[in-house]
Amino acid sequence: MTPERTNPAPALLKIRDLKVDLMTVRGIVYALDGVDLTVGAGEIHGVVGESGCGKSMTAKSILRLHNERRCRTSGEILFEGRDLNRLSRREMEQVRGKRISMIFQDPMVSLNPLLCVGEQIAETIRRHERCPKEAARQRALQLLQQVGITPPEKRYGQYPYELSGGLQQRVMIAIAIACNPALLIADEPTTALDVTIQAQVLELLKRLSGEMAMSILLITHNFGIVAEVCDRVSVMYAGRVVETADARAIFRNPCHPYTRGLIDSIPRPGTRGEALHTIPGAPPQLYERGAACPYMARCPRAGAACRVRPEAVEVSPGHVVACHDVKGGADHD
Amino acid sequence: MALIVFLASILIFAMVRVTPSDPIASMTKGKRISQERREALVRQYHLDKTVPEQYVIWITGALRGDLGNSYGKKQPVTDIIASRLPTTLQIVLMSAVMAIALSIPIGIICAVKMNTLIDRLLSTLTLILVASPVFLTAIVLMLVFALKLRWFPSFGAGKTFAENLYYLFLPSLALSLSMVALIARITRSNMIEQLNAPYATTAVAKGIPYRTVVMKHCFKNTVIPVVTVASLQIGTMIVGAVLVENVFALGGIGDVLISAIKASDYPVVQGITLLLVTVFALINLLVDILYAAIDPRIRLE
Repeated sequence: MTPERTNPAPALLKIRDLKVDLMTVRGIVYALDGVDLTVGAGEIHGVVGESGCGKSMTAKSILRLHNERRCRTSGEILFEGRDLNRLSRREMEQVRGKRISMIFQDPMVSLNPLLCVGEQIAETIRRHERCPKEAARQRALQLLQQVGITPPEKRYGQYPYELSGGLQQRVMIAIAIACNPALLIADEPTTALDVTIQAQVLELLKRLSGEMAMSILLITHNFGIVAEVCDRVSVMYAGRVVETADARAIFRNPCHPYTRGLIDSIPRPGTRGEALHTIPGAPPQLYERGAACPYMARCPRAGAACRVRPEAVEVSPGHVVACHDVKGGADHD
Repeated sequence: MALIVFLASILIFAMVRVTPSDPIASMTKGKRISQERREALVRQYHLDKTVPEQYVIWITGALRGDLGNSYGKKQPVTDIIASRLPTTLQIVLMSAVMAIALSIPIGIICAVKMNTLIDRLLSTLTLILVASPVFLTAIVLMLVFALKLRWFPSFGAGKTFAENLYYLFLPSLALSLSMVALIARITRSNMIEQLNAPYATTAVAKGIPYRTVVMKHCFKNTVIPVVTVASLQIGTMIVGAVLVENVFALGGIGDVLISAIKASDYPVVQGITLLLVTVFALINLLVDILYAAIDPRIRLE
């Protein structure tokens, strides 16, 4: 059902029609409603969208970090020839931290406060490489150096509370890259950091991606970050990917009205005094799975055709959009 | 710590004196005595001196290890404590060990199996235990295990150490059950909180098996508040033990304390209360050391 895309890089991760329903006390939430996402080898792939659109849920579902007892999951997550959704618990543990690793929004609470940071890095290495303690320690010291934490010998024994937010996130990155994973999922890695530190951390991620030929799935709500570091980008809305394109193409030629709205909402210098552009309305509550395009209510170009959910269409090589309007509005009133 | 014990000693001393009672009556067990005899007793026990003077006499004695003589029993308070304390301490220690050994695993199981049948069952059980008073649990345990099944003796403390452990098993269990309930509930709620903490997710994302995440990463973080509550509980248990001691006819320290209060036996009341305060303070000190061992953030202060 998904049209074949011409990706420059061979696909490393291919998510097809991923659906996750959350059972909550207030009813079923259709958190992910058919996500299609492909990450190429060595590529930095951004995922953008408003709060609650399913970016983080997608990230967590890949590593199956969400509470599986309270979720109903369907669809495929193809990674290195296997469907992650079908792996056993033990097989999944072998993937986590070794082939795919993850860093999170708030490094302060994402590190164990009672273990020194070196130990937290070495633990991952010991777990996956089955090497002696001293070797793991040496490797951890090397990793600290690699992510720019010096002097590593001194930092190794320090506890998370003794480090700044930026250093904590670097430690998280060191943990994540410890076993040379093929894919790093970064869930809003810079949101909790100062702007100057943000830039450094992004620079580090970009450098590591190049050095280690590691793909990064970068979850963010910040288009500036996309412009800076991403090769490709997917825009999510209401649990679906509405547009995927090269990072440049998305700024030059945003096809989905939601993408256009988001890009127009970026404040620009020299427009002081003018009201900031906003998208009217709020994202829909995901308590029901409607038949219509979920963006219809907020869309400036909505028409009769939008009562039926649009399929994703490839408008140009590598540029996929899920909107009825891209063909020139033929179905419009 | 020394300061706390010192201030507490003043408070204890003052409070004992405030109660409207006649210590002489306690010495003579209410018998009529001559005026001379009465005055002699008053002088012998320094009751003619002012309260601060009495305090100085008492506290200087206490520092030398002499807590004075009981009014009623005419024997040194230290001897009374020495004869009664071991049983109480043993019950308290045994029940503390039992309580911790039972409650922490229960709490962890409940947290990991949150909202499943096993969690519900254990939670209900602990809720019942926390609600039932110690003397009731003690009587029920005694009826079932000592009188009906005859697995354990129903009274006495035994003579050798091994006998001690056996004789005091039921009383200790009775005393521990309410503590088990409380600590298990606290462990459960803390563990649930820790399991949902982002660092636990990080550990899972690193590929660490869930069991190790629970026992290595979350356990240490869970245990800190548990230690606090457990230590406070152990303190209260020393006095709480009196109910169990009564049911199982074990002469413990709580028993002596309560009869001494009824009889206005000042030295005994003061001596035992001071001892309890000291034990409390010692436990607190231990807990502080334990905290620092667990949590690096506390080591700084």
